[in-house]
Amino acid sequence: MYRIALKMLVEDKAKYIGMILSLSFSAVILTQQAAIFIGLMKRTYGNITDTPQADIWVMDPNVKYIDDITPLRDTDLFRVRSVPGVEWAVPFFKGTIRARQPETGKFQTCVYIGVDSATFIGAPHTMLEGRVEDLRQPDAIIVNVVGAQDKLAYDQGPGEPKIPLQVGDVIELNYRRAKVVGICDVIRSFQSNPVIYTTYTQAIANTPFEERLLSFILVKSDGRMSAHGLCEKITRETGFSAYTKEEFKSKTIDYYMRYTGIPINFGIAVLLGLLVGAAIAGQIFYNFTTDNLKYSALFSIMGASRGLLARMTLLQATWLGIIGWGIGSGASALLGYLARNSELSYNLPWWLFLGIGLTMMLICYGASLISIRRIFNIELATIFKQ
Amino acid sequence: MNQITIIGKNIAKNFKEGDTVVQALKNINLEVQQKEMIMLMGPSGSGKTTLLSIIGGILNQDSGECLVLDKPINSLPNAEKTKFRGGNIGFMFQYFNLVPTLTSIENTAIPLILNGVQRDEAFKKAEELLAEMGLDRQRYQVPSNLSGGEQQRVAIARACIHKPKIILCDEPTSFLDRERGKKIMELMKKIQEENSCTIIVVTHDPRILGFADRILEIEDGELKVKEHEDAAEKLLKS
Repeated sequence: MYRIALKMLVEDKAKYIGMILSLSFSAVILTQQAAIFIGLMKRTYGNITDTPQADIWVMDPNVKYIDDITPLRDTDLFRVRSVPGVEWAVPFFKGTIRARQPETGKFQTCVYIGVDSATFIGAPHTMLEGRVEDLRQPDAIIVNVVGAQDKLAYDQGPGEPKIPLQVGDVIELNYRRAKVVGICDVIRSFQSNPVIYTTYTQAIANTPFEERLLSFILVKSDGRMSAHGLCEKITRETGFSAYTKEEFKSKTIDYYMRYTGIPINFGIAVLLGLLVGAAIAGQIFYNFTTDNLKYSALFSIMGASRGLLARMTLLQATWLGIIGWGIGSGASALLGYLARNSELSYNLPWWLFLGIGLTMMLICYGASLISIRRIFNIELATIFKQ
Repeated sequence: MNQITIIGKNIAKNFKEGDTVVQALKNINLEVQQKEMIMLMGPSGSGKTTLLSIIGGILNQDSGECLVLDKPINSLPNAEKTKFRGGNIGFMFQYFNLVPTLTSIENTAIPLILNGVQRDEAFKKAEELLAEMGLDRQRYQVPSNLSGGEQQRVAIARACIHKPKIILCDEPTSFLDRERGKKIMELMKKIQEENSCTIIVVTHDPRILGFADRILEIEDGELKVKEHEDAAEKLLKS
């Protein structure tokens, strides 16, 4: 009877296509809103992701998230290095800087990152052009590809294509010469500003003098204790805050969740997608079962138990849910693929697919439960009148 | 001697329509024997279909008793009643009620599948039965591609494929012309004889009364005892 149930579903082509499309549509709405939200959140902690060598980030206790920088003293680096369990600790500068295109005189605010001059820990690990080691050259900088191709590109004027910043080009950072020695690929910054890498020494030199300039200390554990345990030890012995990569990511996301309207806006969009999807798909599936109510009565008259009728309906709901989810997920993935080079933040982790799949199944099962209730309450005798 | 397959004792059924109570059946008493074809006649709203529904176990009587194959069908637990009905009773409906998205074979095989027969075997039997009924070429057609007579033959095949002891028919010829109606009834008669089953036919159609072993009339919910000795004679008179 299960094959018959599926055939009844699939062969009613107009309704079937309608249900599949509506479910796919709601899957797309849910997936793309959630994917953009996740992508956006990932951008907030892009620097942490792009610095995989460090187990631990050490910072001033007042720091709330990665862009909220309260600098440390350079000497604080040695205090951290002296904590037992620390294999190495290196300085990491993060700030903003104004870049100027010499030809056009155009200014652009950029994310400015200074990595340890000796080890290059914190430097980009995906180089499209040039080498990280080229940062040893005087005034050397590495620019992220998105910034090089857009905001730092040479603007020829209206209607003319921009000429991307290339290796060998020179720009100005705080009115000081900076030579592009490499183009890298890193996660876009939250504001999509260009990301410029240089050495820690160079970064300090290009930044107006302050007593404290060290943004973070990147630490590697020697493996004798857990990263979390080492964080606690560093905090205990130095008074600084120390977080594992994952903890610092969570702290950054928490900040954005708590102090910006982003989650509310996206939450509303996702909720609306859920409601619209559930309403459309639920209504169509309910109509389908209602239209087939007399056949459910017929099967019952011919000996189909209530359990069998319920299972047939659930099977139809499962089928619809899986197909709708599959098509919707495919369309969402395609959307992500098409948007891969755009500014759209779009991230589709496996657990999002799974979550959306479960949500789709919940929508279908919810609708089917209402339908099953209707099937159970049908007056069998009405079959003689239909 | 034939067994008695259906016994109705003081069967009564009321329906509520707003504030008024309509007595659909009033103290119906009847006995139907095995291998008997009964025609149940009466004007619209007289209670024929209600009685058929009670015998078929798809409507409960308010009072009285209905024994089908010695079982108080409407007192059985729901699951047991459904199983009993599926195994022992076949149904034919005025509007055929074939599932529009299924082929003739699939529609016909449903009662067998519901009685636990494997799908392939059920389809094979359905194919054979449809061939016997002259529907060999229509076996893969959906109902919308069949004529009224062909649809009714598929409905008959579905009603009898699992060889039920009782077949209940509601106006089986009302949408068929004289010739097709006659053929349908001949088919029913053949099935009755081959399967030794009891058939109760609710009908308004005087053309088919000649096939009845007995004719019962219901009027205003009461069974008028007009058990015609010679149904064919009644047919001729009408």
